[in-house]
Amino acid sequence: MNVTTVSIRKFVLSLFFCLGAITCLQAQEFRFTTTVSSDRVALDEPFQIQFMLENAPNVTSFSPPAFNDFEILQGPSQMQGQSIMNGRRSEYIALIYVIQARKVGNFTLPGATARSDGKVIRSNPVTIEVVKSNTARGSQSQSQAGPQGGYPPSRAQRQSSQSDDMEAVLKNGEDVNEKLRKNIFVKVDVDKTTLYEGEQLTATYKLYTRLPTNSSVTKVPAFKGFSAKDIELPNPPQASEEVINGARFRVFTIRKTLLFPLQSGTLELDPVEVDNHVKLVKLVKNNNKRQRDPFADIFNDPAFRDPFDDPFFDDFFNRPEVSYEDVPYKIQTAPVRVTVKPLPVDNRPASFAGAVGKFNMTAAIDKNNLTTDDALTLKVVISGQGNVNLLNGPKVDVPAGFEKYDPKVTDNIEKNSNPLSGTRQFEYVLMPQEAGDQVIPPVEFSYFDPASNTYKSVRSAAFTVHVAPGKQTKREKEDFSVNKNTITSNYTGVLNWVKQGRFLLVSPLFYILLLLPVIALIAAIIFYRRKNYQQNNAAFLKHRYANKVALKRLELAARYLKEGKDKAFYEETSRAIWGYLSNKLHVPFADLSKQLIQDKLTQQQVDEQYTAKLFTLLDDCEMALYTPMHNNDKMQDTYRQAVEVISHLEDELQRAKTVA
Amino acid sequence: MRTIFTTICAFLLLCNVAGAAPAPQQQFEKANELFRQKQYTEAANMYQGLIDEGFSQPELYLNAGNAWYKANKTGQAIYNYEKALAKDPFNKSAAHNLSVANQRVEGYVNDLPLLFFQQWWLQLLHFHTPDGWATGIIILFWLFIAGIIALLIAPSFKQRLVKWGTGAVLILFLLYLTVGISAYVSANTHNEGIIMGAAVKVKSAPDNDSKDLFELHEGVKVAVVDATQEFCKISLPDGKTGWLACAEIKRL
Repeated sequence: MNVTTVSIRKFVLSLFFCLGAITCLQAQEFRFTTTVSSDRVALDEPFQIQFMLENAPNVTSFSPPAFNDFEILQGPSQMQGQSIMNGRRSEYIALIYVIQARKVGNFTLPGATARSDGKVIRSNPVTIEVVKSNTARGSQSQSQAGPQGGYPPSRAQRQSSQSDDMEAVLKNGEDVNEKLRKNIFVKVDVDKTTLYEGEQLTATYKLYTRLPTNSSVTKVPAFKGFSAKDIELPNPPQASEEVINGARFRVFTIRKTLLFPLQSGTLELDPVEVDNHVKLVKLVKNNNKRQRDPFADIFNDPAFRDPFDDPFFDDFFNRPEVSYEDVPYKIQTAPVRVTVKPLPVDNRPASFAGAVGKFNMTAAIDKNNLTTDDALTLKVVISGQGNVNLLNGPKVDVPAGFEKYDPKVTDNIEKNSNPLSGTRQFEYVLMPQEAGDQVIPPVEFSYFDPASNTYKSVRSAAFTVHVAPGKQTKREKEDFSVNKNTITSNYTGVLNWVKQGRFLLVSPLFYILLLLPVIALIAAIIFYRRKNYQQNNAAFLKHRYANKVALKRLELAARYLKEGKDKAFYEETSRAIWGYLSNKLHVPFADLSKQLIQDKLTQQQVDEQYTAKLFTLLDDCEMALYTPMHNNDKMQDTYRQAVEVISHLEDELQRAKTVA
Repeated sequence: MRTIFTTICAFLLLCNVAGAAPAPQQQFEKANELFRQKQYTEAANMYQGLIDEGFSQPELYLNAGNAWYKANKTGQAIYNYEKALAKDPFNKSAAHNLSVANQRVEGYVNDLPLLFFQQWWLQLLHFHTPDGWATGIIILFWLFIAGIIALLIAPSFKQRLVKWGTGAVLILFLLYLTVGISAYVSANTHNEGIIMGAAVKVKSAPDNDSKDLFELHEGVKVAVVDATQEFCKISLPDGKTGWLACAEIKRL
């Protein structure tokens, strides 16, 4: 086995292809099956799903199920073929996807549907258990590298490798390492080293060889900081020829990847490591002739044949001067650095969401007239070249009367396109909540065109939708999103339609009503005071006006004097004096006695002579009243005395008061 | 004379009837019907019309809030629910709908529940309407004055009883006065508001060039602490303060 083989990532695909072919051969009848590479996968582990249709006549359509919980990493790749086994021919068509789970859990993928001979047929559903990933990314690439090893070389390669045979001969004195270094190496080609964030970079890893080698890729690059999309390579790998420094090399493409930088800065493309087993032929001096084993023929039986022991080697082997050596040789590419420029900030449209390339957008709604019971689908299709696989849906400004759900994203990326091209479709489901004419504003999509270094925007037209009220009213109870509470229903009874006028507290009426009792109170107080005055303060006033009162009484007495009514005169005079004393000395009329008056007057420090005069006068009056003696002169005299006494007393008391 | 009087009366009556041409109840029912037909914006506008006319029944505010909520105008919905709650703090529907609407508010900070004595005070405040309190104040004041007058003028008439009665009336009067004034003040303070703009930048100072502190979304309830001609200083339940254009706030 002296043939160079380069394994590619798609090995697994072909494995399934073969498996499919075998199963198809065993049972020749019509079958439609779904197979997964593993029904228990880690969260970030890509795995393969294959839908195979065997021996189906007239297949007109073939559609995969919706991978709702999975992300399509690759595919679909389609295979078609036929095989003959035991004289029976069978045909198969297979659709293969490499997918990756989005979340942990058990998922059932419904089968694919196909139309064969006009009938719709469906493959079996499969259940996949997705577990939490416990392996790092590195081990993932290792696991990819695993099956890529020991790729069985095809006959074609083996033939083409014949041209290397001469190089494989190690001449005498030639350094093995030097020879290997010169004749076998790996290289990574990038189409540019300076680019914008999100712009496509094509990296090609190639193996150049002039020696027969059995190679396997032991380490594949992880492409940190990039979004990578592999180009499917022909399987088995096809060699091309290149002349470097006059030497003819056979070139195998190990990997071709479209890279989209996710961040700016200097990024490094990881090296690829390739393990080679180079078969070298050594020319040995012809002195120790090899003895043939008598049992060699037995071992020459094809059943026992050593894998390396194929007829070609036999030729050398059988010649005694030649010996064979299998030299292991590990090589890796030099790391490549690329400079990623951030996208310009100036003139960046608001609707820009990271698309870089050359795109076109169409937006359409599925109906213009609907009821509130219906749903509307706004389909936005973005097509073009660039980072189609990374596109974000354009922001759709839905009017308030609609409820919007997350868009359904469907990708249709052209297989093996370089630059990456295809379409990504966003389907926004809009639920009208409200009847009436609604306008959905235009959808705008912006992208950065690295060819012209400018931002470009595409706008759709605005959509006018007529929403009629729906019939269903119980729809309101339906819950479209998780854990959404509903509001309580409206109040529909009769309301007491009273407007809230001015608050009573600040209206004049309030203060008027408060003032009214205050007025009443004031009136009551005045009334009370008057009453009180009459009850208590009258004495003081009496004192104050005693003189006047007394003189008034005396005036009356003077009238009686003139009229000669002596009895009335004395009575009046006596009453005037007593009244005067009562008022002036604050003594109730009934309590008056000569002794009390005497005491009061001395208390007020009134001169003794006036007191004596007063008593004489009072005695005179009493005498006149109670003895029948009438003298007009006496009356005259008494009157004069009374006036005099009262005046004097008044003066005295006034004086005493000021002294006191 | 009498004929002139009757004609004036008749005229006034006519004016009154003409003024209330589409009776509010009819308009209310029409709005309810529009709501049933899912023409939420129209229904909301109709309810709003009634509110603008001066009607302020909590049920009206509740329905208006529901209509705005359904029309996805969260800010308006919250405003109306808050209004309904201000009118009737124990309205369960309004409280429930407010909490539902608040779920739509981005960055909504839960208000602290009221303490027990605050609850009591609130209950006391809403024991009567503000006008009810005012009427109570008047009646009690009259009783109080009547008691004093009775004591003044007829001291001998069951003096003990009247004294105690007057004292009790005085205490009641003072209570009514305090609560009545508080009820009036609480019904007339507008130091809280609802953010109406979709995303409003809160600035550090009352001018447009100052630094943005944070962003408020439609429907957030804020307290207005200070205000200039155009800018209002707001504070949030979590203690954050800042300035924003007064036009973005609808005062409660």
